[in-house]
Amino acid sequence: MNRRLLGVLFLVAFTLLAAVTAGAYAGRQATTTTLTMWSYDNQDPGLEPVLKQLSKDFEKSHPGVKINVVFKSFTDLVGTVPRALASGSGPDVTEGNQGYQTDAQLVKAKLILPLTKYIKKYKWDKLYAPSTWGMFRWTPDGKSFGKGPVWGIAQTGQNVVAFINRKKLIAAGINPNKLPRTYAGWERMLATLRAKLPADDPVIEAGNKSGYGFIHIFGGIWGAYVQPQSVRNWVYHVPGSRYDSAGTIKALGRLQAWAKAGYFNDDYNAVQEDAAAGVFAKGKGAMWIGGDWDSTIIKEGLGAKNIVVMPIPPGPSGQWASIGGLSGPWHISAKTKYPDLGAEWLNYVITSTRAKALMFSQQQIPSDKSAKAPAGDAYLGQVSKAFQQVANDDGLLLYTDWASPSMYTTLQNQFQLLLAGRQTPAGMAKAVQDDWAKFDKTLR
Amino acid sequence: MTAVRIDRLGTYFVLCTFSLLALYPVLSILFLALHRKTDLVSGFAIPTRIDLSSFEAAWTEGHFATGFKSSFIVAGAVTAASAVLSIGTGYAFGTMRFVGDRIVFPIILLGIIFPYEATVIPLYYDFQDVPLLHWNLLNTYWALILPQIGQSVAFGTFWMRAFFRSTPPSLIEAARIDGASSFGVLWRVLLPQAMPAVLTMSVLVFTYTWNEFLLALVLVSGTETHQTAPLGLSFFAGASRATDPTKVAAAAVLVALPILLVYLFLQRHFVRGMLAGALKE
Amino acid sequence: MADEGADAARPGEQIPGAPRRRRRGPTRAPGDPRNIGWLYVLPGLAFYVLFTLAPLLHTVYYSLFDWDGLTAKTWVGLANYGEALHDSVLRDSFVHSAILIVYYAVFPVIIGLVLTAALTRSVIRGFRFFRTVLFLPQLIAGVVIAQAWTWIYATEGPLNRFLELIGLGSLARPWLGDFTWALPSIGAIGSWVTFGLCMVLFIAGVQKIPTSLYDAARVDGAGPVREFFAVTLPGLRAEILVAFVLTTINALRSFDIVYNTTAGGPGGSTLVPSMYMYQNAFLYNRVGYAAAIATVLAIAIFLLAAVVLRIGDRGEHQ
Repeated sequence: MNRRLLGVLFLVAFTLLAAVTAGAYAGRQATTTTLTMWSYDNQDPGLEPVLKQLSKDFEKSHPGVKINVVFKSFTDLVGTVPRALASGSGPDVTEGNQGYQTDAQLVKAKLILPLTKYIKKYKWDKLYAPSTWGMFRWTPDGKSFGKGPVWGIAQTGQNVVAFINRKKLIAAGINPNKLPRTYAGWERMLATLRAKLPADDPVIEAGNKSGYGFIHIFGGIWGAYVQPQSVRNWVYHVPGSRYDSAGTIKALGRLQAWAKAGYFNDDYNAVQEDAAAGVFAKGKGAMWIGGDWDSTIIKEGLGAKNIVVMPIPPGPSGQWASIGGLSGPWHISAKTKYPDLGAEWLNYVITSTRAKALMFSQQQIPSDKSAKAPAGDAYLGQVSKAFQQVANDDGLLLYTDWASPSMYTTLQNQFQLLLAGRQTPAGMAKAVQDDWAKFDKTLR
Repeated sequence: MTAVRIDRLGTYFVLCTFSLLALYPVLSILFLALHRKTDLVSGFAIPTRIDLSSFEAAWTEGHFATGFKSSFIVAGAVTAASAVLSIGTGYAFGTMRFVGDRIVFPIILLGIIFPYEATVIPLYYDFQDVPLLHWNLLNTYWALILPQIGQSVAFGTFWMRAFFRSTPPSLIEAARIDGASSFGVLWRVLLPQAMPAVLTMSVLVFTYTWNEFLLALVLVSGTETHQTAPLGLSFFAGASRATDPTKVAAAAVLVALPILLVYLFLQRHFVRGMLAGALKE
Repeated sequence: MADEGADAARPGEQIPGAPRRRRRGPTRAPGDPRNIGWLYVLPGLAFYVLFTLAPLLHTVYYSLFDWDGLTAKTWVGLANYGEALHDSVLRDSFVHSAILIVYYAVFPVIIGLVLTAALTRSVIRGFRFFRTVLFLPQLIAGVVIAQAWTWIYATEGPLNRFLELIGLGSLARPWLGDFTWALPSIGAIGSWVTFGLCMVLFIAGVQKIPTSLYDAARVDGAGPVREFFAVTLPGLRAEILVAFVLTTINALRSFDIVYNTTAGGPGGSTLVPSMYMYQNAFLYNRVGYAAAIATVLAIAIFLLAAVVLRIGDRGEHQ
């Protein structure tokens, strides 16, 4: 009887506590304007410290304003943001994702604002090359990608590159200052690494748990076999584009061959891409191929002097290419009470000198093409150069999961099957093209 | 298959082994949580010293103060409301016969096996724009409380009906003869006896509601202010597990703690509730 | 869980004119107004109808449209169901669910029965303690369970370490990231969630079987195996039924665990219907199709429950 009473008292006490805290909380929502922003740029730590610091600075210069930045994982955010915005009590400013899964939906359902007037006000058109704006353009019906008004704006440049452990190169007899400049040479280098490294050390430490790991890695191989413009056309649903070209199938075959040859760690499906970066930073594997937004944790783990950064070299065309583009697009909610404040915040975060300095200090490349990396930081110089190399060659392949709402899952499943040897390159190409075609029909 | 009768010692050995198996996963995250972020955790990760820094980090960064508040409000409201409603329905089905009772009761029983998957889609859209009233109830406590009352009433009706049916009819008859109204019978005669059953039902409903995830994911994930603790844990793990597994483990322990504490004191009621169907006379 | 009131009079046994056989159950006290019961039932029923039944019908309604959830709907009749019939992903997800039911329900029940048969039938001292611990898995939130087991299954986690310790290090692998082993791994989590429940049910149940029945069997020359099938199994019938119902319900609630461990991967090998429905409704913006999946899932669950109850009922009448 006593214990039961105690248990009931516990329950009652908890509920009372809850009620009291609720009351205190309600009282505290006084007269501040709170701007809520969602982001997934907190990988290791990525932009998180930058955004946190910038929000403190912004609050100081805007008394009465509070910036609330909420970080979610990429898959959690894109899975919940359309409904959050539709509910009317969601974020005021949020990161989205270019492509048909997220941004097209947001535009079609009128959940975000076109940025035309803010581009004019803040002169954002100077930020990127004209063709780069394509990834933020949608016709208001959400059907045509690459045309129409601009709906989003990105904070950093992004690129998928290889981060290579210098010591392991030397141990395998490879000169880190004379790395291959062709794709063929790159493949030879991988084979050498596999031969010389201990059997339980992977050549490439990979993390594919969330599915984008291999989408990224594949880009470097792909660029050696196809024309980047053809990929971009496919992503933008230019009629007649195809994924299952001979070049793509060959490239998929190469990725599968890498897996068969044992280049990857065998737990890649259980580890997330950013976690794999962390593991690489602690000394496992000869290289990690992924987004340059993870450059900080790698630098902290291995030491800047110990890393070589480069995109996977070009194929016979000589054109540098990789999966990349800009970071996730920032949108302003159509239901926010403070659109102008939101735009001002975005302007601060993307174009101010303070912001750019902070970004560089975190090894992030500002999207503003006029931003210059501070001299004297060799590592940052490498990362920046890798981005410029691809961007200047017009080799950014964008992200292929943008091509349809279900493309992300399709690619994720197909890559996993391909690498496990349960799917052929031609089979995968067909499956991906089928997904594209099925969705393409709904756009016509 | 030859089943050899194991003697008492063997029996205890078997029971201890399986008890350890039941406990181990909880122990394993507890061990993990007692580490510092910078520790290299692997294998059994038995902590060499007790470090609560991960719990601190989890609590503040995971915003669990809000998460717990939301969970308590929702679970508390659902439990209280469904208890009251179920006492009523259970009383009616258990002691009275009325037109349609044989049809309505099985329909209510259906609710016990109902998955929320079957109703979460319209719940989302109807809460976003409530028919006729045009309210937006998403990201509010109502969105979680109302559907869970509906479902808990199904279980509660089954439970209380079983209890009321087991009371000796002579008790009710006697009260009736004394001129008590139906409500009087319930209030003065049956309810005092029903408290253990009500308590059991309440702890079970509280637990299921506290643990509910899908509803929260769909209906209140838009803002942080109304997220329940399990939902908060899911987002927290997604965002931080790669970089700081000890912090996430600490968060997991925190989310499980309230139910475990209540369980410790009221375990008899939990067990009785689960075994009810078979152990009933 | 079978409604005892339903067996009032066996079909064909009603003798016209004879007084209605008194059955154990609700009796009408003198002067009890018949329909006041509705007054007590209505509030609870209202919540149930409004927030559980009506939405179910609403789901069926949505399944007849092609809808992205944010713009206008288009009527398509039964086209979504037609697509569902040919959807190999959906089919596979049901197969995965069926496999999980085996792990959640069948294995623990069998293991529970075997253990119960093997253990002593005399009173177990301190059983309350064991009961408390064995029950624990039932009370922990799916999200928490997912975190705990993701760690246990991690490449550098306890399970692999344990395998290494006992010399089976070659079996160590990334369990939740492996095509063949991800689903069984989740299944094992399910078995962990329900095995304690089964054990407690059966051990408590077996102590209620009168020893005289066992004595009689022994006198008839029955060995332990015959004893099990002739006395223990029939004696535990009610408990077994409850175990199957409770564990199957658990299996169908696997969304929490799947979402927070593998999210259906790798390669869709752990995709279950509830996860697929969620993906369609909230990631692919195909609400109509998702509603069709939800409807099919609900029908499957109800059918399953009906089958289990029917088997239980039939057993009772034998």
